[in-house]
Parts: sequence; structure tokens; C-alpha cells
Amino acid sequence: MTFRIFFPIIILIAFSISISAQSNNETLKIFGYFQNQFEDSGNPRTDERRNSFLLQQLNLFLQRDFQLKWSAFVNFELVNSFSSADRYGAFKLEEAWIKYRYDKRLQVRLGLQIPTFNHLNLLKNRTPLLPYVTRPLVYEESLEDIIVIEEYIPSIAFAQTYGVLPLGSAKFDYAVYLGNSPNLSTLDDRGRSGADTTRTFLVGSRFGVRYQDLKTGISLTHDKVNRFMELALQVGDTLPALEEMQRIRLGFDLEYRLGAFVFNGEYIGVFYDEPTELARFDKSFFYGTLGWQLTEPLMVYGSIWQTRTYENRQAAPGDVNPRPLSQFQTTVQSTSVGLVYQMNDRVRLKGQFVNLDQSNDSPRFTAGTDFQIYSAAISVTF
Amino acid sequence: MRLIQSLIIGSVLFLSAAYGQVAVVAHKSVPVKQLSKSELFDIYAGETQLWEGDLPIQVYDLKSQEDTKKMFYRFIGKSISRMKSIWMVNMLSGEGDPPKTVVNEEEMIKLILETPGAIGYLPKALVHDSLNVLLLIE
Repeated sequence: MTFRIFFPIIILIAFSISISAQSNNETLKIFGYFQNQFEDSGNPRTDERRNSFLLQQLNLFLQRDFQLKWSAFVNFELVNSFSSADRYGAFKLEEAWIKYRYDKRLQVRLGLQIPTFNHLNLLKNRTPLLPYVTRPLVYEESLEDIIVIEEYIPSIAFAQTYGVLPLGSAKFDYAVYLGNSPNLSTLDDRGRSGADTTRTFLVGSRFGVRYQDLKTGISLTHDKVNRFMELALQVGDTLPALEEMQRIRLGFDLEYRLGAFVFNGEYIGVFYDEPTELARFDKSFFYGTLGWQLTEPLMVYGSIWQTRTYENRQAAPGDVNPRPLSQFQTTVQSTSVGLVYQMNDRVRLKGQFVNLDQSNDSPRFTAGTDFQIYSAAISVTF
Repeated sequence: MRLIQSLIIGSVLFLSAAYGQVAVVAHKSVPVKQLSKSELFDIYAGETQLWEGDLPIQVYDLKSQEDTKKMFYRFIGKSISRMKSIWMVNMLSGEGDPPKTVVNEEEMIKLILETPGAIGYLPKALVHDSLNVLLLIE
């Protein structure tokens, strides 16, 4: 009789202890960061300037760890002072994944996620980790309406396995992932589902080595692109000519620390297998940043980045038979200097001067597209 | 009484710092008897998160920037600001939490004794038999 009464009580107590322990270790964590900025920009030749305050970015994370080796992570991102009422800015679900961590050698993430590509792709949205106010162009999410970032870097993957393997006194990092091709349904009349419209996948990887203060790696993605089918009509080719065009993105990244100095650099080459000589889509990007940690909280840096793209233009606008296209190479180059001051573990103050210079080998191109940006920002982690 | 206790601990800390001896200590449940420098770095950098037998590692770090802490991170080979940067990357990437910060050595000892899987560091002079000493930094 006593056993009958006490056994359920013991079970209940044991169960409640288990629940309590679980809830201590498995609480839902809510955290994030935001970066507000002030920017004064303009063309120094024309003296036309503008200035503006902006909530450049706010990210809100939800994370829950459970059963020792599992965790779930959600990342909401709002950019450019998002306001649905005023129809500016953007709000998107950046990540929503579940991770299984066997140990540091083998981890698997499933769900919407940012794939590993070069050093900066995973960190590009983590503004508190970066010294920049304006990031190197292909990583600047807030300029996504000006430049198609995904032309250079993979934005989304859905399955990724990664880990760290010991390699003598060095470490070998690897990541292999799978995602959609970039040909997603964005047709309004079909509800902009975001579903892949092709039978091809994005396949990508990064393999890297860390040794003492050196970190380097190479990245590679392969996918097929439909984006240029419109151009096929312009050049009089049949649609399949530019359909599912093979694209390879190749990346190389390097980070080296020497005393108070740190160098970060990257190269990205985007190579298309064009079926026609009438159009060329290859592009490239590199950046290099040298930082100097003057004191524990203060770092100054100088940075340079450059993009090279081809523009495929009609020989004469409005020409009904526009063959051949004219191809012009456009180079956008930025040099910048800046500083970041870490007030405490949560707050960073940033300042940056950027000089942008665009050039084009088109005979109609006229010089004078310099652009200068003075900016200051406060980056807060909460 | 509390004043005498504080004076004793203060003297011990001063002497430990002067002689430069830091001990890496863990809860008795930790199934490891010694750690190498690289293993210690992997634990503090969040790369290793479980002890053998799947016991979760709970890492503790001293809040103050005193000699014990400086000596510990000098041994690991990273500055304190570099470690903070690594922890921030982990946290914002969903890869793990930063170490829990403790105000002083007394709290470090208390929490390591109470928490299975806990690891931290102390002036060697404060180590006693209830702690599992994994490494001595001279």
C-alpha cells in the first residue's frame, strides 16, 4: 500500500526534477544586435551632398539547445529602417535551422541557413563583428536593391555538414552544402513562392586551414542560372541558349595576425559557361583590409575592394536587330579608412570614410562618378 | 571575520600573482586528468563542448582583468580581446555561448564545486583537494 502511494510520487518528483533540469539547460535564448548610422555622402565634383540617419540593420535571434547535441536557431533581419507602413526597408527570415553536433569534427545543419563561403559570408550580417559601417560591396546587405549580392556569393543553403579536423598542430575546416538554384519563383501572380523552378541545385563547399595566427581557405559553388534568358531574345538566340547556364563561383580567403596587426583578404571569381560569344557575364571581386589594434578597445584600419563586371549592351538602343552586343567592362573600386572603438562588450562605435570610383571602358563613358561617404555608427548587441 | 578572510585571500592572490602560478581546475565529475594547451584553447574557444561521456562542459571566466586572467590567456596564446571576439562570433552564429563570468576567485571555486562538468582557472595557492587540477601554468 505504502509502495502504491509513494511510487507515483517518487516518479512525479523524479520527472519534475528532470523537467526542471531540462528547462534550466534548454531555455529559449533571445538576443540580437542593431546598427544605427549617420551618413553624409555625395560627389565631390558636383558638390551635391545628402545626409541621413538610418537604422542600417537589426537582427533578432531565437536559440534553443536541447538534448545535449541538438539546437535550433532562428534569425530575423530588418534592414534600412524597415517600416511596412512607409514601404521602405526590408524584413526577412534570414535563417531557421536545426543543428546536430556529433562533436567538433561533424556537425549537420538542416533548414534555411547562410552557407559557408570565404571568410566573410557567414559574418557579413553580424555587424558587431565587423569594423565597417559600409561593408565591402558584395557583402553589403543594405545595398541589395542596388547590387544582386547572390551574383557573387551563395546566400542560402538548406543542408550543410561542417566541422574541424586536427591536422598535426594545424586545424582543417570543411563545409559542404546544398541549396536551391537561384531561379526561384518571384512571380506576383503565382504568389512569389520562392520555390526552385529548376531541377538543379546549388552545391558548394569551403575547405580551409588554421595554423596559429593564419587562417585561409578556398570555396567553390556550382549552380545553374536562368536569369539571362531575356537577353537571349535581344541577341536573337533561341531561349534555351541562355537557359540553365552553368555558373561556378570560386573564392579564396586569407586572415593573418601579426602582433597588433590583422590582415583580411578575399577573392571571388564568378565564371559562366556562356553558350554564345555575344554576351559575357563573368565577374570578379576582391577586398583587403589591414587593421591595427592601437589599444585594447581601439582599432584603426584601411581597406580596399574592387568589383569587375561586364555589361552587355545593345549596339544602338531600340535597334530591332541588335547583333552584336557591345561588351563593356565596369570597374567599381573603393578605398576606405575607419576606426572602431569598443566601449564595452556590448557597444561599439564606428567611423568610416569611403571613396568610391567607377570606371568603364565604354567610349561613351565619362569620368566623374566618384562618390564619397563619411559615416558613423553605433553597433549594439543585446 | 569576513575582513580576515578577505585579507587572507588577498594575500594568497598577491603571492600567487607574484610567483605566477595559475591552475586550471575542474569539477570532480570531469573524466579527464590533464589537458594540453591546445585542448584548453579548444574548450575556451567553444570548439569542444562536451567531455568524454557526453558531460556538458561549463566554462567559467574571471571578470576582473587581474594577473591571473592575463597569465591564463597569455598561456593560451590569445589576447583577452581576441577571445571575446571569438566568443562573439560563436554566439552570433548560434555555435555556442561565451563562458560564464564570475566576479572573483571565491565565486569561481564555489561554482566549479557545484557544477558537474565545470572548468575554470585559479591562482594555484587557492586550489584544494575537492578540485580536479588539469593543468598548472607556471
